[in-house]
Amino acid sequence: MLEVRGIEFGYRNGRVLNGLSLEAGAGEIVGILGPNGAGKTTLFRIITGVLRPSRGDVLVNGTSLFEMKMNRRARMVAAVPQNAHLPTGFTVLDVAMMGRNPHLGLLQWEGRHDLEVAAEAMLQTDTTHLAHRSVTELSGGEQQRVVLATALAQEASVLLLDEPTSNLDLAQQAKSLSLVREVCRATQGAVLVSMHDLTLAAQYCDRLVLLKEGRAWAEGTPQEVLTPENIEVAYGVRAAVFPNPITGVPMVSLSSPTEVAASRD
Amino acid sequence: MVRLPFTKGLTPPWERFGLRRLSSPPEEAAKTLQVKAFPWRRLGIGLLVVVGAMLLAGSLGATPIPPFTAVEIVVSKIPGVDISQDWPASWDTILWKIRFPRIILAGLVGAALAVSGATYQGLFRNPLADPYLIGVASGAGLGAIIVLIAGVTTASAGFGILPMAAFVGAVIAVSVAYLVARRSDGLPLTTLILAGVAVSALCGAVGSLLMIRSDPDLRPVLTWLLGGFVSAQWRHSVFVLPYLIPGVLLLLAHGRVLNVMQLDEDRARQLGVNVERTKLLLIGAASLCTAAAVAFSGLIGFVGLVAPHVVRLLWGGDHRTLLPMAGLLGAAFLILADLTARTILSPTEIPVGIVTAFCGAPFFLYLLMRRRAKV
Repeated sequence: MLEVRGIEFGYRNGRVLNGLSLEAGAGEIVGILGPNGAGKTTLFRIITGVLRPSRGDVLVNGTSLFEMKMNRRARMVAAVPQNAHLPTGFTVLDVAMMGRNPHLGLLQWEGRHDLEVAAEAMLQTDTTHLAHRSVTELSGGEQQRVVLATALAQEASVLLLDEPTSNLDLAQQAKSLSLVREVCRATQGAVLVSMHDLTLAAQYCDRLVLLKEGRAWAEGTPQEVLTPENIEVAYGVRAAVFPNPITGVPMVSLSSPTEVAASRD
Repeated sequence: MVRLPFTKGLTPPWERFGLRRLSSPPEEAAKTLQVKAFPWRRLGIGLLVVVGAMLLAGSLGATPIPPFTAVEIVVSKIPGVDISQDWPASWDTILWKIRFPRIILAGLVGAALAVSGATYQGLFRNPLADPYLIGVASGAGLGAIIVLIAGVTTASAGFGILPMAAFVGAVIAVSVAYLVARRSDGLPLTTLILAGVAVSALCGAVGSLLMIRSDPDLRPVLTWLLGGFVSAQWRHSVFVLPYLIPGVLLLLAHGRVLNVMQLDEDRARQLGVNVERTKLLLIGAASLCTAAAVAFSGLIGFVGLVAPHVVRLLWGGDHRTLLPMAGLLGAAFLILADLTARTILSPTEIPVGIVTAFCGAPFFLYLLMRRRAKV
């Protein structure tokens, strides 16, 4: 469904992405891992059309995103940025309705159908009870759910989530990732989610892609990607990986350098 | 909450068993959500306020005309309407030749400044932005000073040379700021504001130098700089309209897009907005409207700053309400300010810019104090 082909991109002070290719199928959650600066956010900004790569292509259902108009692309790809700025003077319902923007013509007013889609997105993200509250007076977790509701209201087949759990407590992390998984299964869309917490990523993603130096260093199931060797190469830290006693998915525990030294002795 | 009329008196089943639902479940709450209605009623109120201001301004003055007669005189001007004239002919002249051209021009200028101001505030996401932010005012001022000092008096197409020069100066100043700020990958708005401030400073300096180094009668320029509608004529409105109508319509059409752009530029792109094209369109339209408005009326401050804020305080930040309502309130405000300017010290007139600043500046200080209290 989503196909990233040989993307190359550099800012003024150096190359960030170096021929990155990856794929995400229908109903699949792909976790994007990698240290800070590995190009996760840059990749997302390219897929949403904010940046244009110097080489390579991004295809959704076989069509290149760079040949589309902005609003058509926004009907195919929705994104939840890491730190979304929410403006004053708008209610939660207003912001969720902004997700309908790519579906509306310049002079078109939101209709019954747009409301139904936005209301459904708010139900899914558990923000219905906040509908008439001003977005600026919500907590960080609530704001994040509102941004997710906006993205869901876009009804796009590809959903990108940049660090969706970074500001959330443990319960909220589980809740929001379960929700993403439910939506992904229900809509049969492709989901790309970048994460720092490797254990959480292994738990919720079908496949993982580990970025290093602007390229997909390792790719596959959580068991295949999350090995102590891969983690050491990508992050430069030693880690112990062991299976979750209940589910069997890998869990990652960092070992401090002193512990590593002690275990060698 | 949707309540069917025939269930009104019935106890819900769960309450009959002694259970009380504390809040309605989200599914029910979702059904009560409403599509935001088109703001017909607000627009109606705004229109009434404008008509009321026009009526007041039409009847008050050195020669008071009863409001009903004023309406009759205006209606009698509509082709095909025949009303027996039972008012002195001088009233007809006063209302139709003197007061009404002023009222209409003041209304148009007020609307143009307020809509442009609201657009700039939304686009730059800066509540302190006003229509003169990126160089319109000082460019127009410099244009006016240059023709006055050069002694050009030839009128073109029936208009004085001064408004023409002001219009051209305003367009040139904004274009320079735009070209300086523009980069290959887009238009950074912060750079545009800085470029506008720099261009304004330069135009102001050149203008002041020219005024000091030469000594023709500077009163026309000073009068123009302070702003006013003393010499307003019907054809001034006719000149302004070809810029205002398409410009204002274009701005009003972008209400929802401006809402989305409040998120930030990247988010707006992700939500399908062609950000660069929108910025260019809106800045161009707002600047042309302002330049046309400024050409005949001079530099009238605070309308473009205050009117959008009043609307925001009353009805919130949705640009689909904000833009049209700011236009209507701006029109009414400037009509009333002009009325005050010509009646308060009658028979002398004071520049309308003084009236707007007198009402606008304290209000703006109040807004700033509110902001400080919030932080």
